[in-house]
Amino acid sequence: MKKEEFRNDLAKTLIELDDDTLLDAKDPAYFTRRRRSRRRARTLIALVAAFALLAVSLPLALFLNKAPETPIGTVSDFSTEALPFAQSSTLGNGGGAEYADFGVSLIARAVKMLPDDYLLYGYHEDKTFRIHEMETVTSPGAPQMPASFYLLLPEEYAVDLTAYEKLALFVIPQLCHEDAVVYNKTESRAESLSLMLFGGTSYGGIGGMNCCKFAAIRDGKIDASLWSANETWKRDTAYSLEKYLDGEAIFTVYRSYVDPAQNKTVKQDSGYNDILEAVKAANENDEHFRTRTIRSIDQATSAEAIRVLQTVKPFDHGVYVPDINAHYLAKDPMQFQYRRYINGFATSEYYNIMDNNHVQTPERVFTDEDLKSLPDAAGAMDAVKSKYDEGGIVPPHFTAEGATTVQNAFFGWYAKTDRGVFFVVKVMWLITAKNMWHYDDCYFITSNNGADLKEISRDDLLEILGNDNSFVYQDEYNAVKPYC
Amino acid sequence: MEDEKIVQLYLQRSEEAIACTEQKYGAYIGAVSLNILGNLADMDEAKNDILLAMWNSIPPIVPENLKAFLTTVARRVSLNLLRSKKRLNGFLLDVSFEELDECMPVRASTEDAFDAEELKRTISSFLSTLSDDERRIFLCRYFYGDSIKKLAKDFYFTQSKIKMTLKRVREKLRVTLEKEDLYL
Repeated sequence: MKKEEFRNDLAKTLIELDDDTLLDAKDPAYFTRRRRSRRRARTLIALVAAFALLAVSLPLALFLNKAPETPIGTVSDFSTEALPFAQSSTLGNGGGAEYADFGVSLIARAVKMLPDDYLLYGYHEDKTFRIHEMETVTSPGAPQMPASFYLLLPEEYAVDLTAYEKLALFVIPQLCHEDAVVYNKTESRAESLSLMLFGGTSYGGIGGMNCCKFAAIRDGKIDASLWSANETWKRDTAYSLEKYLDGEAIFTVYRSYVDPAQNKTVKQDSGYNDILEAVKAANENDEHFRTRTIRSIDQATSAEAIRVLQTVKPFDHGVYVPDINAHYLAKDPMQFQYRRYINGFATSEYYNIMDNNHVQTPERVFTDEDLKSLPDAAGAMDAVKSKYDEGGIVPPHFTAEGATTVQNAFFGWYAKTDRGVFFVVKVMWLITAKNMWHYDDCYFITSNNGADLKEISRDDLLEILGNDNSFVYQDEYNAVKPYC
Repeated sequence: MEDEKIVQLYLQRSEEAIACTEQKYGAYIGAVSLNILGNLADMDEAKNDILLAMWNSIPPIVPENLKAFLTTVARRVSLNLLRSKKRLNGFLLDVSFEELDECMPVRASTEDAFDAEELKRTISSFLSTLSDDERRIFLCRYFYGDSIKKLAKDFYFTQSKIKMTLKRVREKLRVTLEKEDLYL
């Protein structure tokens, strides 16, 4: 047999392999995971080498009557200038740059609209929000919904909701844990919220889409005037309004496109009970919400899993958004990752729970002693934000002619390390240049031992954090990045 | 523009949907496509196909997550484009493919007819016996045509480790082909 024929046969066979097999070989998620695990291994080897060096150098130094040079730096070694702490209350947002697309459905009433403008940590800064204090009227299918909560509205949607008798809110995500921290833009400081924060970054009417859906209710029927309350409402709910005025409005419950039977059609002359039924159906069919909250807790059976859930659950009502690795969730709904939040900020402490029983515990967990002397998280966030606003923080890695910063965001977390507890602030940029996206970031760190807030390089930060570094950008800078 | 609005434009059959998708996700589509196709010229060609596929898919599909859906479409369209390029230009232009000569069973006969289905089954089964790394390295090298240097960078291995892995996989393939009597 000729080699060319053999090659040709193999070539044809490889071309005809199924899509999944071929695409799996180029799965970016796999390479990202792989890079992380290899970096961890490399860090471990470096640490072992460092300790080995220390073990060798210490006796030698003593012998030579000379102080050893430790290979592991301390916070005071950081070369960049210190930032002043700002005075403010504590608070924070646990989310990443993108918020969950699942939520709870209910009938609620607006109590008041807070007077200030807000920004969300972890979310790009070009979006300003307003907050309403709300009270739950009823939430069939979601009994864990708290009696009072805050509702977030992007500024362009912000109309005074107290003008409406009641509001049917569909698939409204919980954005933060209890004690969540947001940035009060009006007063230029971090602010801790006393109620749980729900809401979305985009809203729609009741037709077809799976963004947060709103319907005002008056005298037991839909009050379509909300959908033309301002230009944004008019633009974004035109489809809903058209459907409604045509005599039919469809309450599309979550994932309804998978199973159209889950849709609930409400005619113009429908009454309050029909709307309630749609709310209930939305809650019952919102698989993500149930999976991430009630079901995941109810199905934990081992004592260890229950103990962990009690540890990481910083709320009383059972309605929350645990920091779940969506990849695991998609692959196997019985596998969850829970992250602990303290004072409204994420921490490096997270647990994987497999099959509701087997628990993978992190290397380092926060102790009661740690909680007594935590770094000033809100102060650190304020200080970095203040410096940024003064123009003192710019993208450190990416510089190109014609580059434009499209978005920037701030994110902070507590990190428990071998060297103590730190609070890390991450400043992120999304930049365009030559029609391509680029990502850049920088980091600031402060500790609970009185050290000032200082900028720190990614390498130095990774050295301090060790394996618990999931919030640190792991890829190369200057690479073309997807929009996120 | 928010994703929900873009999907709404698709549902309303507004061509603005394509412009908005390109504006918001054009670079992202390019990055996804480049990862599969490996060169900028093909990437540009794929972009148009991807946007057309989006237009043809929504509706009836109403994506829950536009970006995730776009990723799936972009990857599959890029893969199909890569397949058609390979069919058109001939797979054998890939230098890396010569390495597979090693897999040819030593007792191979020229008289036996090539059984495409049987070979496909054998290769699929063979791939399933490999470890995750081995399978990916094999396909990245012999289907996607990645260089040893690129593989070393992507997999965080040394180049010699990549070469050794490929050599072992080729040997396994040769043994498998012999065992299945495919070329005897």
